[in-house]
Amino acid sequence: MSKPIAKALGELKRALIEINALTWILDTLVVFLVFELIFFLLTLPWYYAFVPAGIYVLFHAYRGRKNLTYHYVEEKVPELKEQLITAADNLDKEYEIVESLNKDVLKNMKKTMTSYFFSFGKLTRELLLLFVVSFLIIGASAYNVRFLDTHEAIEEIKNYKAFQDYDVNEVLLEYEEGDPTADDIYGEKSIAELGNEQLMLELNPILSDADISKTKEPEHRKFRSTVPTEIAASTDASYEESIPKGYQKIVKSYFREITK
Amino acid sequence: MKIEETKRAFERIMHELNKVIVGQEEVLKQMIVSLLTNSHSILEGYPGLAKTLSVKTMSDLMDLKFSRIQNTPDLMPSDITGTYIIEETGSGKRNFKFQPGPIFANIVLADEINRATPKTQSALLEAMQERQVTLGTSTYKLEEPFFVLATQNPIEQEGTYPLPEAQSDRFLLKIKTPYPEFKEEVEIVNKYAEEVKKINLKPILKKDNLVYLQGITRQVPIANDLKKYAVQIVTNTRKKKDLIEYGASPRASIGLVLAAKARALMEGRKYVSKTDINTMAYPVLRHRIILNFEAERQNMDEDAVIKTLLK
Repeated sequence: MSKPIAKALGELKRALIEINALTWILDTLVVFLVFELIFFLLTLPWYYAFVPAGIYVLFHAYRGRKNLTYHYVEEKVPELKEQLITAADNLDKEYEIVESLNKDVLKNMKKTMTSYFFSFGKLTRELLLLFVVSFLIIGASAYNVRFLDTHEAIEEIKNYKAFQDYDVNEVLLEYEEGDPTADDIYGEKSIAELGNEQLMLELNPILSDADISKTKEPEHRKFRSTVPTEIAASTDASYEESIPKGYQKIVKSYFREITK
Repeated sequence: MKIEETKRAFERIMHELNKVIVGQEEVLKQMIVSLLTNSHSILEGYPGLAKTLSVKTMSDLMDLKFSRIQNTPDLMPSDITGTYIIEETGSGKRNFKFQPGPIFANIVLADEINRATPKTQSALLEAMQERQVTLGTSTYKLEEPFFVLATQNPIEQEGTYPLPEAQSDRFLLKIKTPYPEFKEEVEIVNKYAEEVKKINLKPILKKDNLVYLQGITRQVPIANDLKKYAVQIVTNTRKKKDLIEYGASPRASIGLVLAAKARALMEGRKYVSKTDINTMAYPVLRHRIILNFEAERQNMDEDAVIKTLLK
């Protein structure tokens, strides 16, 4: 590792690890605080937030591996495209052309800034989120804001009788045993078929036919007349409004005669 | 010559070549690749596409000795390698003297190689491989750089002796010469159908420079991933049984990496890129694979099949 290019590559690797570690810490902190807030509002112990944060750390470690490779650097710095990896793979060669390539790579690496590997937009958003979530946690603890007492809710669910007592098999058995007309000792066949999600519909044509053995004499029933014995009529104001004044009297006398 | 100067030198070569040859840029580039890798190439194209002119012009530009062998069925191996002739000395003594054949040149154009008999083809290919000629008990080394460019016509296969696969494998590249574009053809007509002007070509590369560049070509660094990619392409030719009957040998892997290095150097780069490998895969592999009936049925040629192997 005495060559300048080897030293530079070593430094680049260290810088990548540092940058990756910083983003990793920041991301994990955001995940931890968000879950901390959620768990606080749900009245759960704060240290439960370590679990999602831990899962995120593992996920980040897996996903972040590619950010530690020279491929990642080449992606971010197009001037080094295909050169950096070639130089890194040929460190043991001492040909003139390899040395010349190493010089070019070193020159381009000097132009490379750490800022190439930072997403300032993401960094700003994360810092802002950290700030907001921290204030929300402080505010929620100060005013004791709780959305749900999880322990209580769990207890309620546990003690909920309707769920505990209800057993669908038992209900079905009761129904079956309660039918004294059932011929089959295994129970009602139709229920078993329903259990198999099959429904057989049988149309009995006899039910729609007239049974002459059950004929009887017609019943004499008295029906009440729906026609009223008296008919009354009254005039409507609207008629008076639309009829000219000179004829109103004639019309009124006409209607009076009809009612008689 | 410095590495930084190589790109300029190749640009000048291309510029001078374009004074004589219109279009065919890719063909000329591949010929230079063949020269840089110190390998031989087979040029396939219809008659009248400036194959011979290209090679002749190339030798002029590089200050190299050029010879041409027109292959015919009655051509004998000794017509290529040379033979012993009786020479009379001043004292009246007669001695056998070796008369070198046309193979003793730096650039040899073996025109219509498939017209020569297998015996003559073998003599030529042996000289190409060993870079020496053995006659009786004497062995004669061929001068470096030594570059054979064989041509063959894709049509008129009657009365020809197609090169066996084992022998065509010895050519690093199979360069296809396409027809020129319409504009280029008009330019060709303008250039050669009127008064023929003598074009003065300046030699750009000396023999020593070329040997130096051949040495540098092998030193061009390549990333391990790309090396694996090149080998993967070649090994895939042996695995792709749905289209390829016989795949390429490991010699193709060496050839592909070398050709990619030469291409990178020509482009003035000090490293091999993926584009170099993809570009050189066609001339390196097209004569090393034998397609099966399924590929023929799908109307696919070698280039179309190679394309399916590239990422």
